[in-house]
Amino acid sequence: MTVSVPTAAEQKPVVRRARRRTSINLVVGGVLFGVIVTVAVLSLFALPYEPSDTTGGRLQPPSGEHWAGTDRLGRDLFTQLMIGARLAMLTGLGSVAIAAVVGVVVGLVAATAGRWIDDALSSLLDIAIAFPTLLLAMLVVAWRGASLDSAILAIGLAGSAVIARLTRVTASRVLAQEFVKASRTSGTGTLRLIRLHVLPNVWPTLIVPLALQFGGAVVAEASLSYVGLGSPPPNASWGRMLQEAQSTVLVAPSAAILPGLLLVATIIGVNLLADGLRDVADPAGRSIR
Amino acid sequence: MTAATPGEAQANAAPVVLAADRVSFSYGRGAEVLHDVSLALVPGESVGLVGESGAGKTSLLRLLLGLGAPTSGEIRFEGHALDRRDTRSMLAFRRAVQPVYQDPFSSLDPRMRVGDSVAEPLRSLGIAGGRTERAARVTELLESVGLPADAAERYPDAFSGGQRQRIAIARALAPEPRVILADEPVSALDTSVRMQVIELFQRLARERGIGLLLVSHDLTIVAALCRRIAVLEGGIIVEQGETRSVLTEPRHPYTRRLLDSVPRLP
Repeated sequence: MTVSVPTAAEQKPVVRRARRRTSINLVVGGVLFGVIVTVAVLSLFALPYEPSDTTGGRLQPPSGEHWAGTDRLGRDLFTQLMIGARLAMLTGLGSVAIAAVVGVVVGLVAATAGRWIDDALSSLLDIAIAFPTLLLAMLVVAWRGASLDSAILAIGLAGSAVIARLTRVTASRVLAQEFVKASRTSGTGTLRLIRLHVLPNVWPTLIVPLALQFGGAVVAEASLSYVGLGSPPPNASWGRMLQEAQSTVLVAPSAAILPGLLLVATIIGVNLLADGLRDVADPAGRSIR
Repeated sequence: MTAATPGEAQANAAPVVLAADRVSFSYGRGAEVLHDVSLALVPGESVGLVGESGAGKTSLLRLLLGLGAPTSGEIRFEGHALDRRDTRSMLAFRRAVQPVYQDPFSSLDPRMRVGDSVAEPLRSLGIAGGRTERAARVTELLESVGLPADAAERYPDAFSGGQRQRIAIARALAPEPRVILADEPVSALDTSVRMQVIELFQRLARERGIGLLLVSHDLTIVAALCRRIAVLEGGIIVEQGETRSVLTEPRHPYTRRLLDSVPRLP
């Protein structure tokens, strides 16, 4: 057996090739998620029936007139599913935005501030991470009343703790790099340094967790609505549709199955999309070591 | 300090740009890592700073770059003690004193285009105003270190270690500094490209009249590049003088040991 010793030139190729593959995850996730987003956007402009229209007859099975059937009050289920998609997207976007902004700011403060502030914030974050989302949501609901905004706020705040901790760790690693020192000796001030060097290097590590939180947020909102802490009627959240269909599941199974399927499709879509995004957004050669 | 006139002694030929004046330094309440160190840098002259790891070379460099304040003594820039809180004078200081770091793989932001990295001192120090003016300067700088103009559009991951160090040198040259402080600038590079980077330093120092402080543990490189040499041991400068005389007739036993430890080819 021969052992070839790599020469110096082989160890450090002149052009480092970034890992890049056409991601099947990205395509499948994009299609699934894209369909839900399209439905959500469509619901803003056109609905097959008025949400409060009860003329469809009770618990009808899917038909040409009512594509997904009707509920026990005679309302069109397809209309409700479309509105549910809109609420789900709103929940995901809103809570991810809150988690990203709050998390990144807190994480950056912890990473750049002195030992004391860092230690204090880190302990707070540990507690916040251990705190159950649903319990936090109940507290927010008790404070502000049950509404979609309360749900989004609660879910976003719960998610921000994880993002903050991740930001702190990654930002500390970035700040230890020599290019940060080089930036200082180039005369760059702290805020600009964070914008120019820290955020671009932290951001790629947040994309996947944030995308996963989007899926988590949709489930959390469904759970909250299921137990009656989400958006109040007549807003048709998928979670509330599930809860309402529960008592009639043997007579009209489609009323329970369809929102469930959409929930699952949304979450699988977002998670696959997250996985695919990582490969595109984060070529191996450009991450710090 | 008076302006230098022709005919004065060599040491006074050019005004001192940057100097450490009886500088001591310790981290927190720990032991002193630098003790009573004095060192002067003059445009156009290369000084080698040698010593083993832990001798205090990097700490001294941090102070000379204004990234930390000495516990006693002062860093003098153009004859005045450096005040790190004085934003205006720090701006002038940063324009005049630029670093080249050891590891070109971590001294360039992997997510910033090379052109933007080279332009960063121009922007942050408020030198070249417009976008086109900056782009022209960047092209010129990249060419002066032997890189093609289209390098500006690429990311550091497209370059080898030697090329990255050239980019780092171009960035250091951007504000037209009078002194460059280089911390082991070739120790992370392959032997084959070391000499090319050393020659680049040599040429730049000669053509632009830049004063160079070269920190290294490699005496061969220092001998090739520097006219003067300072030997640091345990935070104290134990010997300082012309490179030739220090290397041929070392007076301090530590220097002799350092010389003996240089591996020679049989």
